[in-house]
Amino acid sequence: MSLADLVRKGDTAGVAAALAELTPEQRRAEVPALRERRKEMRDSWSSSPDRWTALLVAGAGCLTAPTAAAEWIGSRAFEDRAGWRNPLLVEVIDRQPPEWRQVVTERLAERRAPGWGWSEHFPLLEYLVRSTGCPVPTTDSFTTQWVRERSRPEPRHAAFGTLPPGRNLFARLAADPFTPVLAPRVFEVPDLASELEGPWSARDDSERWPGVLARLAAEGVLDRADLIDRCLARLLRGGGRPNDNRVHLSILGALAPTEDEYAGHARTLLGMLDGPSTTAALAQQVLAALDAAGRVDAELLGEACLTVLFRPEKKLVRTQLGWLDRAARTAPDRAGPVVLAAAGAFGHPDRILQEQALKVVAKHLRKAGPAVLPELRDAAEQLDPAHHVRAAELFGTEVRAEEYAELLPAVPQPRPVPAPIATPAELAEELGAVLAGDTGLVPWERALDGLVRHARADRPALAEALEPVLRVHGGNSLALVAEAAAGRMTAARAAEISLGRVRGHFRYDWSTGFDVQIAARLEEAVRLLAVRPVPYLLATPTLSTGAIDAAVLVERIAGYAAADIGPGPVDLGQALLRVTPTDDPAVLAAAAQIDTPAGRRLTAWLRGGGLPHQESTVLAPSNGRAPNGRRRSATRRLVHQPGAGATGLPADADRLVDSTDRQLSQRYVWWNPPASEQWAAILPHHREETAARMLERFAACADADDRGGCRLLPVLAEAGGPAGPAVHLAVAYGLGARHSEDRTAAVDALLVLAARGDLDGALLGREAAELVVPGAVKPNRLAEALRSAADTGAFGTVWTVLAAALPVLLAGEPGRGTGDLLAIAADCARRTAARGPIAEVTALAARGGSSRAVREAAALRDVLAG
Amino acid sequence: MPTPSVLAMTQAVQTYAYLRSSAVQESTAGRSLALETSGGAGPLGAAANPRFFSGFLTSPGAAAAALLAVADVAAARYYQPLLRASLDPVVTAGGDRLRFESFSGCCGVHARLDVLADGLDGDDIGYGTTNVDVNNPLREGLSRIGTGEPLHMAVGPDALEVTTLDGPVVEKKVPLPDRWLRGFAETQVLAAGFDLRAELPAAEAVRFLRSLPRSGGRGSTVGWVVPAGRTLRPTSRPVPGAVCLPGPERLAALQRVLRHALALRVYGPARADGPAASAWEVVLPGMRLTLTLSPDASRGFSGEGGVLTALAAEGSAQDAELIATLLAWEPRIDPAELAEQSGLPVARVRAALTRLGTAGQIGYDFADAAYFHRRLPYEAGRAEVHNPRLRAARALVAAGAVRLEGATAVVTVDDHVQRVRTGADGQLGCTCLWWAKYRGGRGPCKHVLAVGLVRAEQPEVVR
Repeated sequence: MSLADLVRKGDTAGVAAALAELTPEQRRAEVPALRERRKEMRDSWSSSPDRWTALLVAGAGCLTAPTAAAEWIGSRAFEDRAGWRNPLLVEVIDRQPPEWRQVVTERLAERRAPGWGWSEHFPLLEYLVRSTGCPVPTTDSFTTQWVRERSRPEPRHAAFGTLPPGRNLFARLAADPFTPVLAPRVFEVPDLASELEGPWSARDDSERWPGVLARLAAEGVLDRADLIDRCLARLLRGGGRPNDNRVHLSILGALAPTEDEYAGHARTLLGMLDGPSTTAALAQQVLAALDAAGRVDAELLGEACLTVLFRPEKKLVRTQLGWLDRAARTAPDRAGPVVLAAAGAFGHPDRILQEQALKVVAKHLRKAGPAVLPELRDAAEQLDPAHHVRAAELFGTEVRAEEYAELLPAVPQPRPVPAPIATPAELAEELGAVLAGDTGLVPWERALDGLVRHARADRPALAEALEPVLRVHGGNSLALVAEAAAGRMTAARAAEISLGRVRGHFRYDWSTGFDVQIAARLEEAVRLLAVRPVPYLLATPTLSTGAIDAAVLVERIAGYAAADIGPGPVDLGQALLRVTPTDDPAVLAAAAQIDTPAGRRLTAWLRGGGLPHQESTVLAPSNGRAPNGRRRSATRRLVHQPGAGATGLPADADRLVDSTDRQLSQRYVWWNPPASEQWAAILPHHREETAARMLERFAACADADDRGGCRLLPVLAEAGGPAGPAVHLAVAYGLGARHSEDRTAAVDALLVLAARGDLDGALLGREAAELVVPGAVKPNRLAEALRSAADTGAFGTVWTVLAAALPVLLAGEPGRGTGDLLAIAADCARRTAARGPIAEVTALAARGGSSRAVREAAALRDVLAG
Repeated sequence: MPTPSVLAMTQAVQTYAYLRSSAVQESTAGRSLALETSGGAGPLGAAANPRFFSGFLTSPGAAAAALLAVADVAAARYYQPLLRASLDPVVTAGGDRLRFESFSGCCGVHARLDVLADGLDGDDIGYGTTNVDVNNPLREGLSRIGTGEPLHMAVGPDALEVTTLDGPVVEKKVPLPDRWLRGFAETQVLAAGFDLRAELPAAEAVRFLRSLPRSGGRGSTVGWVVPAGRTLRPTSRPVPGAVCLPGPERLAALQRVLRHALALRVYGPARADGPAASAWEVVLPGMRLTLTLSPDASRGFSGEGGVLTALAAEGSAQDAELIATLLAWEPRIDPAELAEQSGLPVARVRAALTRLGTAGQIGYDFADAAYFHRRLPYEAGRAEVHNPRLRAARALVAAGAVRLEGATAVVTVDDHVQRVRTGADGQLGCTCLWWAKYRGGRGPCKHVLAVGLVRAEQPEVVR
């Protein structure tokens, strides 16, 4: 029976026995059949483990070239197979000549270690290393596998060694001849840090790698000095994953180097000050101790300060200032360098740390002498304005604050919408882009208009042009309209779709009032395309906000009148909602000239000022019910609007602008579609109405950890119409959103509103504070958002917000994060020279104590007092 | 189990042979930094271990930190970090400056440290490009270099050492993926379209760079920043004036040099409606460290395709060969001067330079707003020929799939057609899904390329 047949039977013992009978030539001759078998087995879904084992053994016996054998044994086909542990494999390999075994060993040691878990290969490899007498391989992968294997508490197979099993890692490593070679390598091999935190079976730290390595060093198995060198080098070098330094720090902790041992590593420790904060903290502590003992160069302190005082971590900076203070106290001759070094913290982002640095400088200034003053004066320019007076007292010059000027972004100008799409070929490209995921308003509107235009102009040409696009898209949204435009849709199907009764085409369970209005437009487009194509759409915007220039709409409607065609009512309704109100007599006169129902409707609409703006009332959280019987939100502040009254608009548009109670009556749905730019473009001159109907989404970003819902805030800020409570409440929710991109969008909106002069800072401040009090918005998020708004130069704007928010926030017990808000308020008030005490701030400041809130309140009180 | 396509993928191997390891050496005379070199070329042709410089670094602390930042990028993968990157940085000596370059393993970040004349104090700087060895002891040595003390630096062994040392002792063999090579080369071509968009003084630069996240969170990481006063404000969308900051965690390497920063300059394309590449340059004493980021952490430079049109244009090959002979590691290339020397119009010189860029023979310096000459020390010609999109386009042309119909062209692929349209502005557009997704933002699709190839073959009259 050939080897390949034995493999098929899974008869490993048979393979081993047969191999013993064969000459090297005969064995070589078997190789092609084995390769064939491996390919077969790889492709088959069902092949028993025994067959794989037999194949592995057969190959190891037949391949007489060692490189080919190593490739065979290490091939991915045998990954995760138990065959590696089979003693028959060892037996077969042992029969090979020593040179063969040596090359195979070297090659296998270079093979990449599996991504995780311990390797099936390692026991065999270990056996090979021992039996051939090869030098212990020091490759990364061999070291990794060694660490993983030694971490296992299970008993080993007798064929692969006699290391003691169990939890006692120390006993195992102490008995292991590999330890002196491989243990020092653990600092250089990447991705080993997490393995060294184990083994998982350890009960306490003395059984984990750090403790065991230290004990091995103590008992002379490992070279302690070398271990310390390597560990410090690794900490200095950093790299790997963010928390990798943790285990190296614990190894260093277990080794507990003495002052003598550290003394020679001063430069390494200095370099470590630039590392992750935990590494830096250790280095700082050791260096401070060495410095106190006079064991390092006195100039080293200055160099350490350059690194540490630049760091943002408050704790490190505070400790460093303490070190400086101590140094100057114990050795008065060091006062000069100390005060200069301490001035390095004058530029620290934290105002209180600057104050501490100033204190250290003040304390030793006299001893330092006047020579340091010029340099200190330069450094003092970085100080927060709060410390300018103190700096002037100490250093004798006035630090001049810059003249304050509020800096707001330029008012964004809406972009004009490009001319209609001219050819079917261009339309195909544009439609392709929209269907492939371009979510912008303008491409969508132009594509819709293009479909309507070209279907009437030349339907066969359109159908031909759209073919490549419709081949890959279909089924919903604009693709359905495109199918209707290309004449690919039967009249019956078009009727079914355009009636809007069937969900799943344009209307879904999750459709909002905005989606429904968009769906109504699409349905009408399908119907018109199927029944009576119109020359173009009326509702295509002329500006990127969705607005339509009144004169353009007059022209469009006149065009319809000239062609004696009536517009689709939904299209006309949307056009009216979008038309920019005007009292230009020329436009009104031109509108009055059009003697069609649509023309008369437009004239009346323009004369009447368009859709009326609705009164907003903020609904405090309550357990009550809305007029429609629905429960109100018990946690959210929402806005009520009474509805626009009789508008004469088509049903879906009318429902959208009706009382907000109708929005409340929406059913719960399992999924909310992402808010789109198109929603805001339905009512481009009524952002307050839009915001009121979307408030729940903004609220969810703050209190339900939703993501991306605030993307529309800047769009609302750029839209037209009065900005009332709903818009401000929306921004307030956004400033307290869970995700930073939502807060960024809210800051954008805040600045745009301010730049356009539409921001009511006091309203925003009050609403934001009212959201903080019941916990809908977390004060630290609000603080972060307001800080980033202020930092770009809008201190005045942020002050108007905070001045109104603080009385509400401080009415009760100041919660967590209030200190941050007070600190920003103090900064803003100082820069903008705001005056006039706030009673709640004064009361908090008078309370005394050392909490951040009280200290910042006191700072703010002092600023406001002038 | 790897798929056959992965196994069949061409995987070249780069072999480095250094005479010894780069190291920071300490002696009684002071510290010295010896950077070892391998391969590459100079004005006299290929060299095994060239020497470019021996002298002092005037700001050793900043230089050491910046070199570590370059090494960080070489060793990093900002996307799928479990895979490894291991290609050594490249140094170019341009007569008056040294440029250290590296390219991340994920093909999304290019780093370059330009050590200018002010930053160097020593004998003449040579000409040429080579690899530099980076190893762990070198990293440790660089981390230990404090400020102030003078630091001697040698790039490459001196002639005496070459003869006395007994052949290369440090050999490294690492995979050299095609897409890495292509990305490295093409970054420079993309970069040539960038302008200065913002400049921040030191304090604001530090504050801004520190505010960036250190590790990529989940979900979208493309953000924008817009200049506001002296600083940059993050914004949620590409408003006018905004610069795209895709995957801000990829600027982490700049954290190393913050303490030495004098200013931060931001470069980007003039108009960016969607995700776009951008470059972030930290000005250091006598040096500049620039990181160029691809439009998305998951999107390497290799797929940007900004050079495909230039590659597809057959005529540019001869021009490029001619221009290549005129270049000799100039730190600044003046296209007008080259035009004069070569007798070609400036437009053709520019096209030839783009083509040379794809072959790794050109770099772009934002601060000078000029190309510089360098020859990447790899077998680079292959990558460009094997560009998948260009290859697919040539296959379409060879199969006769392109039919010209005036301003439009029909490309038949399998059982369907795609239409390629010439817009009013002369730009080509296509109906395929790929084009629809990026609208030319990632270079032309294979259909547009194929049409371009066919049009180029047509006689002038028909065109």
